[in-house]
Amino acid sequence: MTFEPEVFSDTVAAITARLAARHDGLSVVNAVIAACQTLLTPAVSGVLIADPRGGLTLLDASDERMPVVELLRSQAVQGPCLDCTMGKTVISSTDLEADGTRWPQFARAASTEGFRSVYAFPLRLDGRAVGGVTLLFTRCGELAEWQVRLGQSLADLAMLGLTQERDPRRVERLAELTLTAVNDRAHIAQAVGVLAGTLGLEPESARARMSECSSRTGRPLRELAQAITDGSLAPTALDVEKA
Amino acid sequence: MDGQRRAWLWQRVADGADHRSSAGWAGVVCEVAVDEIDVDAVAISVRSGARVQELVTVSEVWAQELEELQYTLGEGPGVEAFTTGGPVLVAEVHTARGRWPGFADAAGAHGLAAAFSFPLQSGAIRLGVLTLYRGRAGPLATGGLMDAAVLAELATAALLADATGSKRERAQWIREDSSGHYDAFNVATGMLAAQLRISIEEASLRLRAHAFSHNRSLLEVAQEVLRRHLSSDLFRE
Repeated sequence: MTFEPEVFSDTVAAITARLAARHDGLSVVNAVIAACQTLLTPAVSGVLIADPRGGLTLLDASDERMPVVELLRSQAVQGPCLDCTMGKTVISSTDLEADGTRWPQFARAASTEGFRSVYAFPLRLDGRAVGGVTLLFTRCGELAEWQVRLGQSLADLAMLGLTQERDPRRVERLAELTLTAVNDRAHIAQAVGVLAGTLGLEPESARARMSECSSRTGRPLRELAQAITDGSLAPTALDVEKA
Repeated sequence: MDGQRRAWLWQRVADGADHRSSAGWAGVVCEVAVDEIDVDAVAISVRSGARVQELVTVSEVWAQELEELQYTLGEGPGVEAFTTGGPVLVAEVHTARGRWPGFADAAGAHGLAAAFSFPLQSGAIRLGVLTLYRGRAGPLATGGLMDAAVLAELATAALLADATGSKRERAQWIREDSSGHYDAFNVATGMLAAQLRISIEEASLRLRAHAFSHNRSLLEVAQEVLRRHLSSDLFRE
């Protein structure tokens, strides 16, 4: 697995530009997920975070098809992401099938979807972990040490996006941001539906168009979702929307 | 553990609401909040825009004064939670003078030291705000924050079900899935809104009404809409 220095710098810049422009947390998480996909090439990346109402909640995923989303979500009960959150450390299984007793339900559901190995990186905040980045691979095998470090750095950037301020209230602030992000996720899903319904697209392609528009124009997903659902941005104008 | 607490809160409000008149759930949510969380008063208000507010219920007259104060001044934690769509947790109201110059001073004179507002919302649908008031400064304990967030979700579910009309449907809001934060439900809502050229809120209500009247889960109905197995004509009025 290799990539061009140019690809690396563009990918990281997509995250830091959003951090510098103080985009909402979900936009930064979205860029982190794209970076995981490009730089570590899993089949799927997903971010789960502690919901102030209890359990872990899915913030964003590179693949929004229902079985995949459900698999990622099931880690609120059992799976590498829950373990990496509890243990505040990177958790991996390089062969989920051989490792079937660790997370029996998760391993079974993962292999049904064709996944063979998994890595989970903790979202670290003030000596705790408040969730994790899950990478699912369709091949067995171990990441190189530098790739594990890169994965953790990307997770740290996601955390930074979620708690940008230097504030003694960081933990409380994270609760505010998480609840906001959970609602933003619902809002984005509604906007995806509006796009799909108007343009006659499948939800996955509608979602891809929205993401593409957000990266191209620099407008946060949250803002695009608002514009689409309040009617100020016509679905047909999404492809030509300028920054 | 977390799930048990959540289920317990739902049950407590549902039981309380059973013994009351039609709008009783909001009063019960406020009562449970005051009982379970370290605050002095709780209010739920419903808004149909930044400038129109209807106070649904309060646990104390004090909360009503503070709600009216925010409404009159057009600023404060509840106003901000509603307009930004995120919770606003203020452990020390007097430090918020820069944010809300009028409200911080006036509220201080009313003996308010801390306020915690949670929007009642589901994606693009913004319904109102749940606000917890306290005369002593300091943050909500972790458990209190969790309870307040769960109660806000529950109040949202109750409001959405209430709006669908019939009494039979109203009883359904206690179902845990009625908060509808499934991705599939939200995508289906947007799709239906686009196809019928109605608002997101209206589309959400029609999906709910359909699910309740056919005794199906929200997720099932949503999946059929997404697979285009349920024609959007079914939801026309």
